[in-house]
Amino acid sequence: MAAGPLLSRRSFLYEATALAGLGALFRPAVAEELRKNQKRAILIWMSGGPSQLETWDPKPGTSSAGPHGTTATSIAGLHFDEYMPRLAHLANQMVVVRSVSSKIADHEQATTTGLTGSAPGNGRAAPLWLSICAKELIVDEAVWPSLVCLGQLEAATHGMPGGGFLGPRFDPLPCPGDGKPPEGLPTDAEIGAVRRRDALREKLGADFRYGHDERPLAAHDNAFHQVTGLLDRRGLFDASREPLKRVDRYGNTRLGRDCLLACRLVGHGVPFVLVAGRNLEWDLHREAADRQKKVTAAFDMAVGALVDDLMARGLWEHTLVVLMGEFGRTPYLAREKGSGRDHWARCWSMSFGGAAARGGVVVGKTTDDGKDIKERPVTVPDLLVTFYAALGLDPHKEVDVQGRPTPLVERGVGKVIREAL
Amino acid sequence: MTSVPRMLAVVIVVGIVAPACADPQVSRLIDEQITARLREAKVAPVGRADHATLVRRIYLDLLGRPPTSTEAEVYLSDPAADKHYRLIRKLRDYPETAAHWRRVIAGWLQGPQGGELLGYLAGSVVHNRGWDQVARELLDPDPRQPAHGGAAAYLEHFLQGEDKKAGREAATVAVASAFFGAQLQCARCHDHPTVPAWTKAHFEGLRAFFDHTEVASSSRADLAESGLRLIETTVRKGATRPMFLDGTTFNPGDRPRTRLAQHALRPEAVHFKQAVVNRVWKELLGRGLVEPVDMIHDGNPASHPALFERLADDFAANGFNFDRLLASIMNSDTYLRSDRWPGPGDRRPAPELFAVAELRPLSGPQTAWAAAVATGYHREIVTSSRRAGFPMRGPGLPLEARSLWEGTEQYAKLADRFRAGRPATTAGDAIYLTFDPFVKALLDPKWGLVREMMDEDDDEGAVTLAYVSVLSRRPSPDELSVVRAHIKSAKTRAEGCRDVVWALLAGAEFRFNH
Repeated sequence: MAAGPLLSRRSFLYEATALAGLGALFRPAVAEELRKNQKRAILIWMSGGPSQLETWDPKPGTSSAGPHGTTATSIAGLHFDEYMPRLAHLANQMVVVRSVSSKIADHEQATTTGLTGSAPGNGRAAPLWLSICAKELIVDEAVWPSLVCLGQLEAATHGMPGGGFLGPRFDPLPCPGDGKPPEGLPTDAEIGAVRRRDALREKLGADFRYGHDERPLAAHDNAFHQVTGLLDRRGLFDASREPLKRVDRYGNTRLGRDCLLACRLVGHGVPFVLVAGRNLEWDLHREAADRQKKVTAAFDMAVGALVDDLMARGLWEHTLVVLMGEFGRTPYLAREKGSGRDHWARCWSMSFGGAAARGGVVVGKTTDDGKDIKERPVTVPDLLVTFYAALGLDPHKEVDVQGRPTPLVERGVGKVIREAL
Repeated sequence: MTSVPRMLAVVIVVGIVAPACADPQVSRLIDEQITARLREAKVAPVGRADHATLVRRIYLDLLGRPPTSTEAEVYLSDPAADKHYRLIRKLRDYPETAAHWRRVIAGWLQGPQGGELLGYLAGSVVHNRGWDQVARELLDPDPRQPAHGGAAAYLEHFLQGEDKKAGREAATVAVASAFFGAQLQCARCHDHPTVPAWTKAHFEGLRAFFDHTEVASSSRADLAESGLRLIETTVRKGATRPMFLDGTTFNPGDRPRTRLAQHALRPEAVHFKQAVVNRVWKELLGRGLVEPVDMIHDGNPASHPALFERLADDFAANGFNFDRLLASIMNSDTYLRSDRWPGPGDRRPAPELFAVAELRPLSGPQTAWAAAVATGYHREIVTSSRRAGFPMRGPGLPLEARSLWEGTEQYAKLADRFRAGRPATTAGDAIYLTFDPFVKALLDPKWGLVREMMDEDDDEGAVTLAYVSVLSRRPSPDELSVVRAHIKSAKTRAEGCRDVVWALLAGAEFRFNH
């Protein structure tokens, strides 16, 4: 075949790419250090709205109590639900907020608000807070994927929030959940064919660069390079490579497998992971008694193992772990059979830890009957700015969105929970 | 689903369309003004794009899809010199133009992206209704007109939520941006930091036009007939006075939305006509005469102030004739320019000079239809549509077939993935194009383009067919030899052909309208 202009241009581009890569090679130590200090975050989304009374804020001996007992934690006088022994043990490492207050008690709207800080339909699509982290906190631009979502949040309005106004570059890479890798990755037998046709794509695309703006075309090519890069690292998503002993500690549940994969991902260079969990798993209105036990216990086992492993790997001080859902549940049991609880946004609980968060902090208090906040109300925007602050990001920073300075959190709302950092 | 009958009602009248009416004087005005600024900047614009580029560009801009391989071949083989003008006129009569532009306009409006509103917009495009009239019906639908139900879906979308205040604010933000070219989000809470003309009072004044509008529950008997759910509530004492962006105030008790339409949609009112012209211009040329497209104010002049003003005035003076505006821009030399800049890349002229056509990423709907047409999947869609009993009426793809596929999950997935306002291709997109089962199915050698390639007698015929189908052009000799070599070295001819179609679909040339 004759080497026409098509081929010569291509080889020029090839050389240009190879040269660009050299810069990084000269400073591997710097790059390594940067990577080590990369801030990370894992959000375990408790879809459906977890009961604060069956997790972090039990009310034993009152009319609000359910059938569960309580367990003492590593902080004197602080009790959690009886099915949360591991998180009770880790209480001195984490922050518990017992006084979150929000207004929306509808799954879709509250999920979107909890993930983005903005109610749906309020101006432009607000990004997932982890997408903002992926944009603002990535030290190594070549890192991809920077944000992975395990499972799907079906309860979010208009589908799962993603990069929003930051653009699809900051959408999470979706995985189906249950510890499974992204869908459709080729088998080992198919890899060769995939590479061959991608090489053809690049060869045939070279001519189109002539006379066109270089930037969008480079971005286009780069997207495909990232995918072929991902093929080299397919093992990243293969949690079966984790030692058996570790696998067992997470529990033989969907959440257990997702938490194990989340731990593997942040340990192998994916800084931000959203564990979406089973859709509406915590939404226990009726016939809830048995299921609540199982859900709380599986959560405790999976998340407890995740926190333990992050600590064991020395990642805890770089990794923020957030445990929350869209709202709480009524401080009284539904009258019908089975002791479930309905939606309750007035006061609910959540927990976070790692990164710059202090251990053993309890924020806020609810009244004895659990119906109201007694001390220190906290809003969802307060939580989001606190997450940013815990990761070293100025929560009041404004980013440029198509020429308009846009705050990460709506102006004027959101105060950092100082005592937690 | 009440939207289906309305949608069909639009379909039935599709046969009688108003003819496209480009005004040569408007096209000339555009070219004179653009050339004048180029001369000042001492930049020589590039010449006209080649036929293959133009046929793809014109189809994508009017129908929201590239030409089929047959349509492309017919055009490329036509020896007439003025064939692009004739193509613009011809395609404007295709019902598919309405199928495409209803989505473009719904995007501008920032309200519902489906349902009844789309049927209403399609009807407005088909009949080339005055754009002031369309805007009036969107802002102030008449309950006695059943046909306005689709228009009412616009405000209902914002106002039906539980949080009424948030709903009205969202409506205000969308209306300000879409109808009046003003980005008022900031002014919701405080005066706009950089635009003195947009204060919090302006936001509240505009919102006040909607303060007494509510969505009634659908059970109310008196509304059942028209289906219109927008109602006016009583005005309390001390209600905010409605105020338009130009400072004119109105009585809150005196049908404020009607007054807004009467006042703000007059031919003399600058905001509306300029906002529409700017949006149409951006859609066709990749950037607005004012950027950002909804930051039209004194502190942010247009790249071509005189052109902007005159184009907007001409649009209003001619009955807000959408067709005329669209066709006149498309007939200008500015629109028809080549996308290749022959000089060095670092001397590429600023995009606001319009010296060379810019790359425009295909929108979500364009991407979905381009993938379908490129791979021959559109024929399957037409077959299903026929089987479903829809009447097959040309020219182009039947509107029913378009609506049929646009209602599917596959389409939604594609359209959402490549949604508008995105910079370029992301790794997630590349994963999708590489591994998604639907994309894999499009490349199945049992049918469609890959099958047709295998049915060709020789590789040259197969490769040419692939290029014309996917990129609306014939391959260069270099490309032909690279691709033939690839097919020869593949394990099977089927695999080779599939690789070629994938490589072209995943290429930047397919991804962009150029």
